[in-house]
Amino acid sequence: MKKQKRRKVTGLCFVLPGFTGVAVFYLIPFLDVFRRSFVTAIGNRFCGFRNYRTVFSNAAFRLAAGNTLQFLAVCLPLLLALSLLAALGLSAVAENEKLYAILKGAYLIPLAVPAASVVLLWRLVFDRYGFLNGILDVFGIAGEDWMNSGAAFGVLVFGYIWKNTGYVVVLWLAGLSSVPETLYEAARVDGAGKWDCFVRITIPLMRPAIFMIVVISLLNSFKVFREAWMVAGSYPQESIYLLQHLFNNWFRDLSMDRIAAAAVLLCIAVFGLIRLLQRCWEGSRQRFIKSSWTGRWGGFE
Amino acid sequence: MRLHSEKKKRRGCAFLAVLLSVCALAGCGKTTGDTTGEDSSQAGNEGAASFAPTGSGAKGRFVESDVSFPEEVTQIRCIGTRADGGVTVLADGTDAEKTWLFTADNAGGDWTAQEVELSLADSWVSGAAAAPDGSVWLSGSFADTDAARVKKINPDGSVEEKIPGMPEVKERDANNVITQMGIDTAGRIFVLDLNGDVLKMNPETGECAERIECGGEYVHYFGIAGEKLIMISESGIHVSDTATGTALPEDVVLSELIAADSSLKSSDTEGVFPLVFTAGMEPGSIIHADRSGIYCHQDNATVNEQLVSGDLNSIGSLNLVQIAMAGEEDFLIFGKDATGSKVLRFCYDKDVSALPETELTIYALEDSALLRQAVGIYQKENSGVFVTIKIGMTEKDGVTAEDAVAALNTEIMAGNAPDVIILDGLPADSYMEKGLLADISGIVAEVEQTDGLFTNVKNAYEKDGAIYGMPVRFFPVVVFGMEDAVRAGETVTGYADYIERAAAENPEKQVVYDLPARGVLWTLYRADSAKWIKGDGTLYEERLTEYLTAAKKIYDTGMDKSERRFYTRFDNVLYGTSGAGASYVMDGEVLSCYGTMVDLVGLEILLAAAEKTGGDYGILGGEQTKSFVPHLQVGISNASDVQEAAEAFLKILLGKECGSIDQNGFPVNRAGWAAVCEEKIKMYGSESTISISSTDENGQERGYMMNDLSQEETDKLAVLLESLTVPSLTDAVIEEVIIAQGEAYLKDEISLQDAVAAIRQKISIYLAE
Repeated sequence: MKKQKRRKVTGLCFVLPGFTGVAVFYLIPFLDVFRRSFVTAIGNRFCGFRNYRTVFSNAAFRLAAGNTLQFLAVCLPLLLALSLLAALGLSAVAENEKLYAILKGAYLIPLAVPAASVVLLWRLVFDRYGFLNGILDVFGIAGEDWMNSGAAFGVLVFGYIWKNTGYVVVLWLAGLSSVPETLYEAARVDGAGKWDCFVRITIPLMRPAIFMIVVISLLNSFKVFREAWMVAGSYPQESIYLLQHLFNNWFRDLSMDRIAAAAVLLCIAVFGLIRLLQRCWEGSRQRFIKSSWTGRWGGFE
Repeated sequence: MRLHSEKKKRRGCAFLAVLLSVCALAGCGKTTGDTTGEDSSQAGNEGAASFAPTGSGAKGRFVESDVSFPEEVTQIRCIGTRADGGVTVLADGTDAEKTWLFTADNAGGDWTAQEVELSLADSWVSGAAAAPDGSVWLSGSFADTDAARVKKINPDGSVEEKIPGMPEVKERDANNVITQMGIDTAGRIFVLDLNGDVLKMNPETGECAERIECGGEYVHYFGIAGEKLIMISESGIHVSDTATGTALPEDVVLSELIAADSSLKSSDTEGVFPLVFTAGMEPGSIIHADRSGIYCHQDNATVNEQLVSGDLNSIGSLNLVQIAMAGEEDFLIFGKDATGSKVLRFCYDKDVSALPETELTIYALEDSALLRQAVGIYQKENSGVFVTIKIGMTEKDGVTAEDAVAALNTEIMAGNAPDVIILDGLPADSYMEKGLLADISGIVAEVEQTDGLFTNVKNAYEKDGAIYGMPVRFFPVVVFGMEDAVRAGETVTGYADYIERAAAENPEKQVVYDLPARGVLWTLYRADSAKWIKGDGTLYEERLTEYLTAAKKIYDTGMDKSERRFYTRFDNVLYGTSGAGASYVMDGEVLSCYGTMVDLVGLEILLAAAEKTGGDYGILGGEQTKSFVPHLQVGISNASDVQEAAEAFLKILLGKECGSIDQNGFPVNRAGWAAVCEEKIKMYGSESTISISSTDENGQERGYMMNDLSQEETDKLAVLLESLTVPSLTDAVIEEVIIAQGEAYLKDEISLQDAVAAIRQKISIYLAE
């Protein structure tokens, strides 16, 4: 009993520094944000849900939230699918160590390029008089003002996918390497094809990894604001006007009350999404365990 | 049992979390601790002795006072310390055409005036220095001869003339002249010439043959402290012995000073210096002053002691010319500002607290000479208040406006809002809406009662009887040309049509003073933007379209699209473009011009052009928009702990004395306006006309005659100013969006429809926020 208690205390001692850091830098500031969402920007007078009502009735917020959602809806599946394909491709050439290392490195290069350089490149490529329109012109195709038209959304999606694919590929590879080779061998002996192996073994066994990858990608996707802001400033083309643009501009106008309310809403939305993913994962895990025992190969252990 | 333990654990965790929350939230509260004003824009000299915090019990401080001279004195020429410890001041009066040599034992007020047999009324004095024997040496060209001369003014008022023997100017076809003079404690005279060489002058013959070596470098300026000659060149400081001319060991303190602030290396303005020097009472000690204060260091010392802080007095707003010791402890500073030349006395008072009890913080996004002068005026009247000016964007740090505003907002949210906020470039409407700004209508009413105000400006800022921010200055955008041009200029579109028509009729001629694309857009924006926003906060698209079309028409008439023909810079919005343009109209190079009129000098040039060409001027958009450009909009923080001090400063800013300075726009203060006009009306004395010659942006010499302004002319301008009822849009975001898209349109990079669509889209998001 004493030993158990001591172990708990030791455990707490290990957890406490980390928890303190999280509390000081995240939890407590968030509590302050939560408090500020119910008070006026100057004077700290309690104003009930007025800030929330203001945020919901704000057209700019609705536009930014819509764009952010649209961005997530397009980017996340695209990123996960493309990076998974790339990871599977890489796994296929894993035996050729040299080629594997080169390809893996190539995927990671965009991640190492500083944002400022990326932005400069974007400007050169996607400007009204940039490289892309120059190339299109050679083929007789009319160019576009990429960053000042609806095409800006596509550019942003492309930039996000280009920059983050390498990182997610590495996560996928880590997940793939955790699947025991013996399972594939056993399945193949039982007559399973590649698709069967992928659907019946790879995907189910990678569910925890998938959950983490989705959450990380979701949180990473908010960082795309940096590139968007550096390319197009505080007021970009309306299709790439994201929530962070709005927060940034509200901060300039000292609208801390609105920022606080919107931040709480965003936090609830992200937390809700993550919980939903978790639930889906847990549900599908249960279903998977159940189906595995009655499956085509008679289940596995 | 286990359940109980779980509960305990949960409670423990919850308690820990609450404890941490409370501790951290306590840190989010408003800080009420003392601040030392270290982030003051005036602070410099890191090695300076630090001050005690505000409100500490330490006593003793140098207190500033003006040295007053008889009313006839309008210009100070030189100050210096005599060998017997007394002080010499050379001054003259333009009106009386008299020059006086003032002497005093300690500059405490008992001045003896000696009239000098020399009038400096039509002279150009390039250098002046006072000798230890009480004489004063002047260099320059004087009314009695065109050639460069040196005059020695003896203590008895008699004048001796010397012909300076100067070496040839290197690599240029020009006559060498003296640009600065200095005299050491032994009476040795040193001069700086156009070659950037410091030369020793023979006091008997005026011969300047002996060159003081400065590592072969061009000397920007020099100072003398005792028997040390301190020369400032591009590479830094070089110190030489005045007796032998040999180089002395490096002065670490001064070298570090220059290394830390390269702006101290040279001055853009003739006759004023970033650093001034004199000898201290202790042998070998050097006293030096710059805008951050007065400092002293000993020979071979590494520590610089700050004697007087520029934050506590008006040194920070002065362009320094000379410094001199007055008695054993006091200092005299001779400097210039927009009001003219002045001598300040710094006298040590052991009974006042080392730092004032009250600290007043003033925030401005950009530095302003006018603001600093107002601070100087305020500090003279309120020596018990420590004023800190915080500048959001300085030339040194390269901070963008957006970053500066974000930093200010962080300070405000942390409870450290500045007491007085200059709202130019800041989201003023948002600050008012959030309740950050206090109602200043009471102070405005008080000033109005005492001095009178331009009520049209005041009314434009009054909302439901309250005023939360108000400009101290304002100026119009004017159009100049023949009658038809002025009439067409009553609307911006009318003026653009006129220019287009005139260009078609005169294909070989430049029709309008050519501004770069941003210049055209900025100027017309100021004249036209006041009525672009609808009552519901959306944009009048058709008015925006008209504005862009008008700008395009005017821009397209420019003969040279390389933007180098006339106007090469548009970096300073306070540059009076109408006056610059009028000189081209005067020379027949263009038919008309438009631009801002920011002072009465601008009016004088327009009137000179009118006299020569028969033209006239009027307000651009005077019929349709009737807008003025506000400048130095000021507000007081609601959260200020020193409301009284902030209000007193606001009164100074809006007051007559500050309003009497003719720069950065016209004062809203009527008494200030009257004083500015009165000054200009008698500006040129008995001659009433003056010949002006200046060099334009392309280096071309331009000359014209300017007359004294008449009362009718200033009255006419006053009527025009009174007719302006709305401020032009000052929202930095809207302006940047419109001008950025407008520039692309003017340069044919996008179509009008695309420009308007982009502006509409961006601004609608902004307005929706």
